[in-house]
Amino acid sequence: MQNKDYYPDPKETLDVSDDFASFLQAEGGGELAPLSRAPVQGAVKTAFWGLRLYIVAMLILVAIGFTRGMH
Amino acid sequence: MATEVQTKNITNLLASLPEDQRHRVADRWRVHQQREALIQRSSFWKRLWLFLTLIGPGILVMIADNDAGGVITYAQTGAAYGIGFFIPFLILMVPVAYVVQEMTVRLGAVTHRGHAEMIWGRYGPFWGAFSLFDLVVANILTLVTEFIGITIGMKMFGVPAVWSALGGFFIVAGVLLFLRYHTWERVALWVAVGNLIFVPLAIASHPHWGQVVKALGSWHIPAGIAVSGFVYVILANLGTTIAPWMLFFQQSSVVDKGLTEKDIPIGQADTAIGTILMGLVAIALVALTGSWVYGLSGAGNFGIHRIMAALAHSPIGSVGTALFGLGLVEAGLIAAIAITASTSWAVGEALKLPRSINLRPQHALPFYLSGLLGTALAALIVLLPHAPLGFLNLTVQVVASIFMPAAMMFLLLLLNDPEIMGQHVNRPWQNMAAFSIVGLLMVADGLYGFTVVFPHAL
Repeated sequence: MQNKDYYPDPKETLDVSDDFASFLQAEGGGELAPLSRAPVQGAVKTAFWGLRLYIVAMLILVAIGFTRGMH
Repeated sequence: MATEVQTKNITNLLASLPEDQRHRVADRWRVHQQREALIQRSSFWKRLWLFLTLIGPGILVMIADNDAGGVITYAQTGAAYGIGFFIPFLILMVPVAYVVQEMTVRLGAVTHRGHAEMIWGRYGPFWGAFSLFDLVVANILTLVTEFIGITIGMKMFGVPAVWSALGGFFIVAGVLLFLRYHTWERVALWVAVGNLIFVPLAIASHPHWGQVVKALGSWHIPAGIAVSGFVYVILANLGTTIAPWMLFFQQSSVVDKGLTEKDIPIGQADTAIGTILMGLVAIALVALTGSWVYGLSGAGNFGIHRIMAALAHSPIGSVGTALFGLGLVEAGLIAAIAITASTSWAVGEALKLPRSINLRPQHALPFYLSGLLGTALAALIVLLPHAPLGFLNLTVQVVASIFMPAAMMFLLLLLNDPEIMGQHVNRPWQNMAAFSIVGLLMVADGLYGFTVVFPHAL
């Protein structure tokens, strides 16, 4: 059973007027433009490699910590 | 005649919009009308009403950050190390949390996309999948700590763990499945109010205010402590102050709420208020246990049960301790509500599913199930006999702080991308602050690693 309090029909409550048309245009609803891949080069490429090394190093350290039963 | 045609067009347009967008448009229309009323005749009350309508994600994420794991961590920190070091440390964490979370407000309001979608779209499926996997694992582990808090707190009132875990799960599932975004957010905010109980409790315990003030200048570290354990606790506190799920949650929440560039200043204020409340609660907890549990024999190894037993003998007495238990339940519940939503949003964004709390369950079952299955799993783990729950609690904080630099790197890359951020790109001071935070996280993690490999070197 649909609960109207939770799912009111927006068409029933909206004032469909000129003001609403300009509002809708300003809000820019509808589909978003597709995202394009960011170029990964220069400093960004270095940062990504640094991140890979950091993650591997930290996982190894944490694994050592846990196997030694430090905590 | 022209108006009739236009009206029909708009009605058709609304009818053609997906269900979640229609609800969002309805919410945004109310915001628009409030703004128009302000323009026509400004008043304090109208401003306040607009402000109250637009706030939510910032306060919610920050209060949910003081989750059951956080409450336990802060209480254990105060019990083990007193107030000397950690009260000033937690004050420092307030601007740190604001700088990090404020970026998600701008990113969400400008792009209208969640964090998972942005990483997937801009940096490809490898990093998208990595971030998603990292988030889901950390979220399930964190949810385990939330259910630990819920079951421990309810046990004080004689409720068996199985009923409190099931009850917690059904509340989380109920509000997520049957409320649309606006109502879900308001219900969650009301639950969040309960988190503030720790502030009057700390005041009622009459902590040593002189020592609290003195601590601000001294950053006193107790003598004779094990450095590795101390670093571990610093990491745990860092992990509970800023966590990956918070980035994903607030950005997706901003998107689902429909905030736009115009709303960024209020979104920033929302985040600032939430951060201050978060800091107050964290400091209250450390002041409470730092004043009344620290110094007791074996306090450094006290679990939350022993801490609460000790608090019963403090000025807050048994009633205050019962309220502490209720606060623990609330902390677990509010965080479970937020973390479940963050998993659902992130999975929905990554897999391009229909994703909005405005959607009915039958129209977005994979979206809702992706979050709720993890939550159900966490509730089950808590009920397993002999599960190492205390160990899991600190572990989740450490895991979160290890992955946080990765999440921060993506956030910083996106916030410095003029192609997507336009005029809202990070300013130099914001980059300096954010890079300092990443540096702080990496130094803390590095120190931890060093103490693991060379336990006797420090």
